[in-house]
Amino acid sequence: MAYGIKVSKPGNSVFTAGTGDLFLDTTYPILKVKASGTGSLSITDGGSDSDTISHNLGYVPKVFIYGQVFSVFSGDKNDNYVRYPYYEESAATTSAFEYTVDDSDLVISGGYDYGGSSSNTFSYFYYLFYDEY
Amino acid sequence: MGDFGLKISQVGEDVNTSSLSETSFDSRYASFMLLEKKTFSWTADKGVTGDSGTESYSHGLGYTPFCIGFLDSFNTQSTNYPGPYLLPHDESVPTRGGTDLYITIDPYSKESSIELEWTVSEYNAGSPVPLTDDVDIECTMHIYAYKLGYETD
Repeated sequence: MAYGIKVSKPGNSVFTAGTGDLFLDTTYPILKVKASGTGSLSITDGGSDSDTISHNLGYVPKVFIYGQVFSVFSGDKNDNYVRYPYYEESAATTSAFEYTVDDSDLVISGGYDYGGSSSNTFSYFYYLFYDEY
Repeated sequence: MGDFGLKISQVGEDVNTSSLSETSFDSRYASFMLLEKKTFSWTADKGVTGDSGTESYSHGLGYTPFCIGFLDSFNTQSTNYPGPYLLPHDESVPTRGGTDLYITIDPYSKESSIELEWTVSEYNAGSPVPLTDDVDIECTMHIYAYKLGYETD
């Protein structure tokens, strides 16, 4: 027997509305947040740093990571939060802020090489979902 | 007709008074419902200078859906680069011949289809050269039942 819950948008009949006019239809899996959080990477020019967030789901989950990065074009830290992975490359300078995710861990990492000696702390936040990638 | 729907508070919160951030589910707001995962696989051809193209899939929804795309992996003859990476994705990697391989993939959601526009280019000291290897690429688009452009209160 078919069962579940459907909720339509205002002005739409729940009996006839297409998926785009429904707020909820339990026929379909809904994106579910397992964990979210913040952290930071402490990096000196030429080096790298990483953080590991264990989820132990046994499968590769969907994740979104946003954070600060080093821009090789400005030669400085960008305080805005951008989506990881993020890469910049110019001449002999590189910047990479990225992540890997497997069936047990999310690893967020960053590094840059600008040929200087600066040190910076890069904040990030992440969303980790129950939903399989 | 009165107000109706479904609301579930977080553990320890009163569902009658919980704020939105204390609420796990509230049917007054749209949820992201996964309709389909569509995988795309294609190859950028060895010997081509600046290969590019568009991969397309007709979803048949009749509206522009919210999508999340991932680069699952890309592989050359010598190296495998596993994902997943959230799209859009731009990356540069060295080739086995010492040149630079650039990959760019941009996802688009449209009323009738979803598309992936891609370029695979190789450069030697800044000058474009033919691709050293075939580059096999796989991406997956997650299509959600959320009509882009819908304005909530």
